[in-house]
Amino acid sequence: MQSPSLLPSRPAAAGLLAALLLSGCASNLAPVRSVGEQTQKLSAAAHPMLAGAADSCMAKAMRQQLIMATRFDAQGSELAARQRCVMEEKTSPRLVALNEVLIAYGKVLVDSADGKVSSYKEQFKGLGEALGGLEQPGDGTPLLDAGQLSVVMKLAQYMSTLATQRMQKASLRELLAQQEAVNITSNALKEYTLRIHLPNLRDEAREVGQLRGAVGTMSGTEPLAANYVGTHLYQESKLLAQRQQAATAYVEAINAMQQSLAALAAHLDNLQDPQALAQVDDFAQRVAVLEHQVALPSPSRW
Amino acid sequence: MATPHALTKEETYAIADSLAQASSLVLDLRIRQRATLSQEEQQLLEKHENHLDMLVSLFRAYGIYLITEDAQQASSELLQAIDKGKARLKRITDIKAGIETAAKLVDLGAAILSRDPGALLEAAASLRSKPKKDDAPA
Repeated sequence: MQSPSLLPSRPAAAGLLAALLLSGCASNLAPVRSVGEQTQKLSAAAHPMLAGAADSCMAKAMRQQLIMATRFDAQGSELAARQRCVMEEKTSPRLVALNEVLIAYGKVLVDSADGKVSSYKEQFKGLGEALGGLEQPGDGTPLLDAGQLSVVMKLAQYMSTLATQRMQKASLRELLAQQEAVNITSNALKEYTLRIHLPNLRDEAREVGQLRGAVGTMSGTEPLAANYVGTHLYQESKLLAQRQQAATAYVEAINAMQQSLAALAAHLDNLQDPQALAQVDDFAQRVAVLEHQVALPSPSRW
Repeated sequence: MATPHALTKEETYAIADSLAQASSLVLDLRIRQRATLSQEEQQLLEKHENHLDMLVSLFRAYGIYLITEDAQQASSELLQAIDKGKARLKRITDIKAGIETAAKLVDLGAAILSRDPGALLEAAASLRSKPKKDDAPA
């Protein structure tokens, strides 16, 4: 059989060369993917807290009315509570919108770091089959023998993988260069948590403590009601403590996210850097803690 | 005339926190003096406490407004970068579709070489069909 002159005569050696070329440009983007996934989880865990500011305010107002109003009227109290919490209702969509930008950022990081993006296995299978089916005109023998076919395929694969890996890297580099914007956006959510959400929870916890004291003094005259409300308030105080822990865990997870994004940006060409990997790992652990903390707490209904 | 003073975030938080403390003191008074205060006094204190709570909400909501306002510019820049990233992903997917087309072209070439009219028609039809984009990112 006559070999086309452009192909190397020793396929094994050429195959080795192509394999070397391929291994040189292969990169492991798993840490980027992990940070993208954790960012999405972080934002998903924070959503109820950011979206539920009005619910929390309503629960606080209703609870206080029920226990302390001189004349309690459920419907009127609900109306008054709704009016009192109208500002929370109006402002929380702004926080939710910021959080959704972070979710979208996490998703595009995951999609861009996806192994499938620069993997052409499926596409090249078709090309390989097509090339393998080529026959010499006339005698029906294959145009390329198995060794030659493998070299051609590897070279083609190398060329397109190189092009798309470059695009993938460039894309990730640009996404990770948005650190300042990510930090400003996530710092806003952090500031909300520290300066507004946590003070709200602390006020609520203080008030629940006061109300428990008030209910305690009623136990002589109305023991059943006092015991019932007292138990509910006790549960509430535990829940408020958990919600405060969850808020603190959220802030810590945001810090870890910012640090791991900075580490990825600094080590995009060497993602196996131990320090960068440690940051990414720390972020995943903080998110796991947060997810555990938010599994229970959301304001109870009064 | 004095220049109107815009509240900073820090001032806003501090005002909200002190109003919340004031409201808590009123509640304390209502609880402690429950037995001794007249109905009118109780109602008046309740009204004051509600007003204070409303002001706390107002100042904290203003704080949220200031926080999110500051982040607006950054978050819209981030959204632009996200869109750009998505467009790049689409370009990579288009390259993949190009390789599939190349395979079909080779089939067409083979069919021409073999002078098989059936295979030729089949290869030409497959070239006209749309490349699959099943793994295109959203």
